[in-house]
Amino acid sequence: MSASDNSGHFEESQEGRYCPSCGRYVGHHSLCPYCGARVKVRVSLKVLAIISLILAVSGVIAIYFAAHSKAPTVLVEQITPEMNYARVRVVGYVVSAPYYDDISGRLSFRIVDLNWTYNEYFNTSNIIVNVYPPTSLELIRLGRIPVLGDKVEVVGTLKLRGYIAMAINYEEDLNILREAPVSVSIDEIANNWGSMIGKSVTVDGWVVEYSNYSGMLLLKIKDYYSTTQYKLSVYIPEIVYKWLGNMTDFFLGDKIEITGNIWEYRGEPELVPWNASSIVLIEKLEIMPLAEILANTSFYGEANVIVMVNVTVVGYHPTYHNIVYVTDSSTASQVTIFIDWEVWDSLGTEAKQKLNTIGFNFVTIGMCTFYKSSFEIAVYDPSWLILG
Amino acid sequence: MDVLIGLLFVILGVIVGALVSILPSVHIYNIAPIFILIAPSLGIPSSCLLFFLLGNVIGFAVINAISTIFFSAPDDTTFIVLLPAQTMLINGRGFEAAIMMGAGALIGASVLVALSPLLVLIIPVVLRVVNPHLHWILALFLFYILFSEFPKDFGIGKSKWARFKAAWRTLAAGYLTFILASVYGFIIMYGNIMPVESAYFGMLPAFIGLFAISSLIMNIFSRPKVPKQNIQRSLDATKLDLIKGGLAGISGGLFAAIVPALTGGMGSIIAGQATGQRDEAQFIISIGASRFVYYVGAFFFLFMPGFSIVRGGLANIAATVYIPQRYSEYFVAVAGIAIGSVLAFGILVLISYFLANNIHRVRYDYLSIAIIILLSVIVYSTTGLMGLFVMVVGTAIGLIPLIYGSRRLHCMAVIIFPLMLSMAGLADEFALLLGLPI
Repeated sequence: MSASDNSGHFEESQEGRYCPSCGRYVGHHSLCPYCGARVKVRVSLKVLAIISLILAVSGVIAIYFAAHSKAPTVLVEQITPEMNYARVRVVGYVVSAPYYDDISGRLSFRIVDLNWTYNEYFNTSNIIVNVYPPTSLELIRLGRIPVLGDKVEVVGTLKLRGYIAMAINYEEDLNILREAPVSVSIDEIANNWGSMIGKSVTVDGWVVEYSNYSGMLLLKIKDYYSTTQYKLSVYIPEIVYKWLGNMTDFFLGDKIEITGNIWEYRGEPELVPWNASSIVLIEKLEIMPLAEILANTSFYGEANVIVMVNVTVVGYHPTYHNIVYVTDSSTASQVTIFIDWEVWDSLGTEAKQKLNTIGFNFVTIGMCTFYKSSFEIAVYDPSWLILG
Repeated sequence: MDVLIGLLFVILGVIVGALVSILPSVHIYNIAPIFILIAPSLGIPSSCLLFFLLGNVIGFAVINAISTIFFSAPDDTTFIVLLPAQTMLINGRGFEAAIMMGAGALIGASVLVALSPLLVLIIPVVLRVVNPHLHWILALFLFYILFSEFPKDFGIGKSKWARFKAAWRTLAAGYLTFILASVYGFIIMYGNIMPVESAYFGMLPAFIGLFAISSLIMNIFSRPKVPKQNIQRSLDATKLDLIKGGLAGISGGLFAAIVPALTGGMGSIIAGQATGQRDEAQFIISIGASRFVYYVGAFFFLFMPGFSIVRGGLANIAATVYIPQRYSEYFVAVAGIAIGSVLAFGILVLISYFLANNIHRVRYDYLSIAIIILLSVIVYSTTGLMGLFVMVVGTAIGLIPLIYGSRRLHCMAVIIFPLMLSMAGLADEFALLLGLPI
């Protein structure tokens, strides 16, 4: 066995005779004449072994404690390509309706920071926030999904491409920072909405427009007794009525109360409910005697009140068959029902015949209005007519 | 974009990448973000920048052999070749070792170019098939790492306890390295310890500590005397070695390019075992081929039109700027790989020749200290004090297998373990188990 194979033994028994590094005989030299290694004063590898063991274990422990710091808060403008995969915190507003794909389980929405800062490198002020299962499923189950206009605190991993995206890993990483809602009137919103963007409010009003599009419901609500007669837009994205609570059964003419965020869309205010349960039905539209309407036509006509009436046909316009004259048991007077041309054209022949048959009884929803100073009830949608 | 302009940027990228890669342990992945940031101010269009970066990777994949062979400063893909390379260096064959690795890279480039019309059809399909299974593939690799450790005693202890201790010394050191590297990697990836501005460089201090500094410290302690190098006119390898080594390297490199967290070196080891590779020359050639296919191939995937395949650190950051979508760009990239690899090989020969003629004049321990200082400066400038601390801990972990004679492969758990957990959807649970803030 050569000296180098077992240098430890040589160091102990023949110190100074063989080089502990190259194993050659060195006599009493303190430096090896062949390899230049020190022969007497040497650091044992044992020392290095012990130091590295202690340092490795204690270092990992120290790093573990260092890892207990919170993710730093950043603005959109501060994000750089080197921050790819960084875990950061962004506080800001949700600027797009969250979209939930129930097949992949992915939930996504866009946010801006509180100052709406703009990132020059990525040419955007938006961060796309993505949440994947199981976190997305858990958030849906908890009903903790933000809506447009919500102030949120998001902690996630940045994923930078030509855009800025962020993935949320834990349900605790999405906090919706909602203030207690303030009760306001539609008039107050109409007059001061600029200062109310992002505020939580509770508003009530009558549904005067109701449109069911693919992926959203669009309403207009108004207060019949308000001075401005302003119609406030209400945007209900699919995620709200499909996944967040149970939607109350309401329709045109019903009075509802909505709690949600004031946001802006194309220069106009809009109200976005927090969830389906934050839409409360206050008063269901019911059949109203014509006499009651005729007693106050100026109010009903000017406020464009939506009414439901149960009436009997007493006549129709000789030229325009979509103009029908009706009455009911509460009054001897007759009222004009104007069926919008598009609605009339969409009706079948049988329905048209029925509406032009004296004595035919039907229920309809309509909007009170004046046409050339004459009071009438206008029907603007085929679904408003219940012909029996 | 003009074809010639694309090629020009590849060539320029190769030259810059090669110059950067001569510096020991300086990874092109850590330099490329600087190019990406300054490119707009220089008026370089995003599409051209991507070709420049492709050139950088080609230069790095070929020239970085120098860092491992002449300076003993390996990275996560070359640490496994350090021992045979150092042996060759001590025997005056450093030049030959460098050329062998370069030859491997050339073989890798040739096959990558030849397969390019097929790769665009095959890789997206392979990725679609493999992606849902990555977590258990990585888990298998972790088992491979653990089970590949073996006792290195001769069973000659005087007592049972002495024999038991000798048998378990390397095993225990290996398993301890594995556990420490796993936890260490997980905390770096999921804890908030690194400055947010340098998240991209997150694993840099860990890799430098685990693989480069630990080797350099051993150099300081062992003070190897590097003899005058011979300049060989031929390689100690047969045609079969080139074919076997090249094929093992290419398959390993492709595998590593597809499976995240696996590096070319590791892929090559496994491919080498699968093909029954024994010869030293084959091994070095396979590492050269594997590294080229791993680094260049992963970045090249980004050029596959219509798929947006983002694999590897550089592709991740390049994708923030531009993702090619045209076949013309794909084939310019193919031409760039062909021309760039030959250019890089030429540069490798020149630099290796220079170093082989001069390396014996340098005190290796002083050189190692200088490299440690350089690496520390790089780590500090990119990741700050915390990065330095992480590097020191990584160094300590990286020293354990070197001192106790266990396999350095255990250090790879630093990246494979956290990624495996993440892909299996278990990272959150493990973070909770460790009590990390979420």
